[in-house]
Amino acid sequence: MTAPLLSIEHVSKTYSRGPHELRVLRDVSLAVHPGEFIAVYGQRNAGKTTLLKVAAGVEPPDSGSVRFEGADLATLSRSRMARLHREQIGWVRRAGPQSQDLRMLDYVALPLLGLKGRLAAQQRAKTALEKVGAADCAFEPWSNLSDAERMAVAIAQGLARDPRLLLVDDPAAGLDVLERERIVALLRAVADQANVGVVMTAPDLPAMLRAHDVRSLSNGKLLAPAHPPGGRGVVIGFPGGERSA
Amino acid sequence: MVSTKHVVLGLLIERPGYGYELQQRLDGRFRFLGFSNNAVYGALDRLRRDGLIEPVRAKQAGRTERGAPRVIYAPTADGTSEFTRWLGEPCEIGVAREEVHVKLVLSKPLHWPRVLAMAEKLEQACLAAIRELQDAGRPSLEELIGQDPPEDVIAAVLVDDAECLRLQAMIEWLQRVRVFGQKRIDPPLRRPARRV
Repeated sequence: MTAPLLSIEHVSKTYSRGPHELRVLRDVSLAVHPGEFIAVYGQRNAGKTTLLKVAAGVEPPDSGSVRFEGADLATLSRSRMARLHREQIGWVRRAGPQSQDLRMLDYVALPLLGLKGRLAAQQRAKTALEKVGAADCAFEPWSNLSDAERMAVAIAQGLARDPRLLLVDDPAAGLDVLERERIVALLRAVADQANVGVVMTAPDLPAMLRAHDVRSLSNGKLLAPAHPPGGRGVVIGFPGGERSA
Repeated sequence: MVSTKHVVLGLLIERPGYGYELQQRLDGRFRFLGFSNNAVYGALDRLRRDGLIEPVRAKQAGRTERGAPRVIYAPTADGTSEFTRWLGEPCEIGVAREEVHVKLVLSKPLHWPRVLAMAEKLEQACLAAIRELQDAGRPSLEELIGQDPPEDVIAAVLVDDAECLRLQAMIEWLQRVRVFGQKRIDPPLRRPARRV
């Protein structure tokens, strides 16, 4: 197997809440390889967003280390970290633009403006919108889009910079079951075709079946699958089906 | 409790078959129901007695252990209508009472660290079961829309969806147990008071 793109090792993180302290991550480890799509299941306040922030180097961990392509994020200069965020790590959030009048083509092109000329940035944005099936939204303002279109545009913005790692915070929120599956299938295609490492969080397991691997986060612990002795055979068999139990 | 009789009848409606072969089809597709090794033979006797199936021919090649020819059964018209009636019958809700619940009921405060470790392992087993569903590589519901997939593929996808949601409910509950249990064990963390 190739070396991990992102390597989180024994990370702990605690927040202060008045006189109390809240342990959000306890000794969490996670490795993401290029082209690997990992889904993290967790309920509200389980620490999913904190995990992504730590992975992106936005929040420093209290202990443990976060490495991107072998480089310890704690040792990077501010300018190198800013470049990493601009070029290598795409962070997908459905926050939307500050200006309600901005066309989605310009919104998706925003992170590229410092790197490329306006026209080149728009060309990349157009390609990214096409890739996520949201080309129709290019000349619309944010307020005209449905929740599913907003998510697709947010993913396009993450992809426009051609990142190595894409961090996606709860892309399924507010979407119906079919829209959710379309968005997750899109993320899977990004991982498979563009060899991008993808980490997605969600409070919904069926949406995660398209990921390569699933983890669960609760009580600060990140759990990985482990087969019980003997296995279970949960998969039902069907005549002419793909496989039997 | 799922009626073995109706499950066997359903298998015969899919295609006629004989005892041993039906037992294999039952094991292959519904192993999780935990039917006994000879469940098919009792069901075949009852179905035949009730006039819901009939022997249509004997299999030429292969004989039973006792040397008798293998009898191939097919549903009668009554059998087909009985199966249709059964499909529309209400199903049992099924009560979620598993080994984990029994262990929880019997545990005492001093056992909580072990209960939490057990809950953690069970959550990992649920994730492994999710991985089995992932590995089956079935199409998603979204992919089925606008296509004309075989009926059995649609059924497989919907049943996987049910299993996935059941596992999600179990994981959510285990996480609640772990959060609650951890709070019982850990005293709240307090920041040291600042000296003025």
